[in-house]
Amino acid sequence: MQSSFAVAGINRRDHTIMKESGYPAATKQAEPTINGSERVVNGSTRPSRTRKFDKEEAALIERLKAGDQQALETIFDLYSPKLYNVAHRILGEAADTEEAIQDVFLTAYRKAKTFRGDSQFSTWLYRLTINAALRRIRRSKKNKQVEYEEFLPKFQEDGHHLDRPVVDWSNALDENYAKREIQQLLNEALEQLKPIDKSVVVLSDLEGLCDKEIAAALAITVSAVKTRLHRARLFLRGKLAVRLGHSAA
Amino acid sequence: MAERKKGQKILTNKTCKQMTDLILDYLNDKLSPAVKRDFQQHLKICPDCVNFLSTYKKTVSVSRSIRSEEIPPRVRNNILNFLRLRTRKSGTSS
Repeated sequence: MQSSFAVAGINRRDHTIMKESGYPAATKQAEPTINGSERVVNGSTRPSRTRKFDKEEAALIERLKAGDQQALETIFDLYSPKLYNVAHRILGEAADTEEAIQDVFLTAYRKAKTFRGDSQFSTWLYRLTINAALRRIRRSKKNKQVEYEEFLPKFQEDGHHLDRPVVDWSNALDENYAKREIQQLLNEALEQLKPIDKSVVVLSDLEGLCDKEIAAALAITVSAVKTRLHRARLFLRGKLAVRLGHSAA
Repeated sequence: MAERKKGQKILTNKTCKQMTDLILDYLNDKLSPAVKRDFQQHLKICPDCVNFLSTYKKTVSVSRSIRSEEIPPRVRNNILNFLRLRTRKSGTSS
């Protein structure tokens, strides 16, 4: 059964970064709203949670806590697209992702009573998803992660960049590769991140959660989120630079 | 550290390394006005940092444009069937 109200808690955040940098808008998504209309969800038009949504969500959670199977299915319909994407990006394997998502919703059903509303319900679900994904990675012997150092910027003793001049390859990336190829390049680099760093990048740059929400979902501090996000982005940047024949430094 | 150009009166007191450390907060508009001013001042005289910032932003924009992985209908049905079965067994279904 498809609920009529929006997944307001897991829309993209208002990216201040876009105002500053002129980034292209995050992927536009038209999502169903509480009254059935659609609204564009991107950087500057993130909808705020409405009272009606909060009431409906609260009622749904209460039904879940009472063991209502239909409430579980409604929650599944609302949240599974986002959570599946997150799990798949972290795990990279469809079979693992399916199992992880099964675990997430079964855990949500069984442990609903432990959700006390200290965070948004969506954040709680993200946390279950990250835990399920990381648990599978720990069990798996597959490990694609590499040492970051080679792909991070390096500096001289006086603070200058080590390899100068630093080349702006951002336009060359678009000129030399099709969009699909660029995404493939980045996906390969993402797979080489440490699982916790990959989780931060996925929740931040792919899902658009704010630092505070990511911190709650990963049970780490906001400061740790920022540190990991920045280092991961530097690594991804270095991977792209090297791929284009330039120095990561 | 950015080099002072001849006749330039304003010096930046940020090194390129410090600039790199500040990029995340700069892009999120979280720098204090004084540090932001310093950051922007450095950019005016350091093409290396301008180019580094451009490629950092490009990396983020590429990340943000990655297509969402959609849940295949067969997988969706598998999971729903799994959940129905497991929650029925628990005896708490409505």
